[in-house]
Amino acid sequence: MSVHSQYNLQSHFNAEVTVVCGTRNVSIMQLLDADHIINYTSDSFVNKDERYDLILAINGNYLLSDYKKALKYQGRVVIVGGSLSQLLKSLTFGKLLFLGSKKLHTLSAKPSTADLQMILQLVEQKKVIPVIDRFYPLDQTAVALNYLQQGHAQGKVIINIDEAISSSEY
Amino acid sequence: MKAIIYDKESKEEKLILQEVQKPLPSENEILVKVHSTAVNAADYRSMKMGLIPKNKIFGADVAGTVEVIGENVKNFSVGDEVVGDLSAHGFGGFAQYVPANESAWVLKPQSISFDMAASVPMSSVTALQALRLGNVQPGQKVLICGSGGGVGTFAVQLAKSL
Ligand SMILES: NC(=O)c1ccc[n+]([C@@H]2O[C@H](COP(=O)([O-])OP(=O)(O)OC[C@H]3O[C@@H](n4cnc5c(N)ncnc54)[C@H](OP(=O)(O)O)[C@@H]3O)[C@@H](O)[C@H]2O)c1
Repeated sequence: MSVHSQYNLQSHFNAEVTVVCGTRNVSIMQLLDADHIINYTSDSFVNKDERYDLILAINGNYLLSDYKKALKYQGRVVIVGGSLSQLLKSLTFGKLLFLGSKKLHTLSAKPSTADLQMILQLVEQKKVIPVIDRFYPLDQTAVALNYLQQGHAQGKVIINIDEAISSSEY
Repeated sequence: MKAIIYDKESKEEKLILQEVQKPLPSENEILVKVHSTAVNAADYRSMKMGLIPKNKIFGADVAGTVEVIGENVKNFSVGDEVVGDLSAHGFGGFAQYVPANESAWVLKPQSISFDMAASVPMSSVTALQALRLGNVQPGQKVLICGSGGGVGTFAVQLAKSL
C-alpha cells in the first residue's frame, strides 16, 4: 500500500504538536512532550489564528467548518473518532465541504502486525511510553468497559487476568 | 476456564463471568494463556451494534504466553510471549485462554510487561495509521483533538518521535 511504504523506522514525523485536552490531562501532555496545550475547559483552537497542516480529530465534537478554518492551504483533517454526530457529519457533508485544497479523510484503521512490531520496538527503546490509566481484574470487565465508555479514560484501561485468578481462587 | 460471556438475553448486566470449556487451537492457531487484555471502544461499539463474537467473548488487545500450538503453526513455540489485536480474528481476550490464528500475533519484547504490551495494539496502530493517512511531513504543525485517551496518548508521541 502506498501510504504504508512512505515511512520506515528511520523516518521522522517530528511534527510540532498542539494538543486539545481537559485539565486533568494537561500534566500527561507535558510529560509526553506536547509542544502546545489547549485546555478545552477554558480555551479553544476555534477562532485562534494558528493554522495547521494536519488535524487529527480523535475525540470531541466540533463543526467540520471549524476544522477546515484551522487548516493551512493544502491541510488535511483525519477523522478518527469522537462524537457520533461529528462522525456522521464527516461522512455526509465531508466531501462537499472539503472540495478545495483542504482535504478531509475518514480513518478506518486495520490491524497490522508490521505496524504493531514497529511500535513495540519504539516502546522497547522508550521512545514511546504507553500510558495506562488503571487496571481491573477479569470479573470487573463490565465495570472497566463502563468506565471507558464514559469517555474520560487517561490512556489505556487494562484487564489483568492473572490478578482475577489470584484473588478469587487462592 | 473463566471468561466474560456476553449474554444478550440477560436483563441486567450482559457481561457475566462464567466457567466455560478451555478451548483448543485449530491447526493454524495458537492457544494463548492470557495475562492482560486492554478494553477498547471497539468492544462496546460492537456490542451496541449487535456484532457479537462467535464464542460471545469480547476483548481484542491481548498479551500472554503460548500454551498450545496447532499442527500447522510455523512461527511460534510453546512458552513464547506474544501480543496481538484479535479484532479481525473473533476477539476472545476477556478470558483465561484464547485461540487465534498465528497471523494475528507478534512476539512480545522481553523488556515490556504484559500489561504494557496489551495496551499497545489497537490504539497505537490507529494513531500511526491516522498520521500516515494525514501524510504528515517533518516539522509540520499538527493539532490533536482528544489527546488524552488510548489513541491520543500514542498519537502525540508518534507525531513527535517517529
Ligand atoms: N477510525 C478508526 O479506525 C478508529 C480506531 C480506534 C478508535 N477509534 C475511535 O477513536 C476515538 C478515540 O478512541 P480512544 O480509544 O482514544 O478513546 P478513549 O480512550 O475513550 O478517549 C478518552 C479521552 O478522550 C478525551 N475527550 C473526551 N471528550 C473530549 C473532548 N470533547 N475534547 C477533547 N478530548 C476529549 C478525554 O479527555 P478529557 O477527560 O480531558 O476530556 C479522554 O482522555 C473513539 O471514538 C473510538 O471509537 C476509531
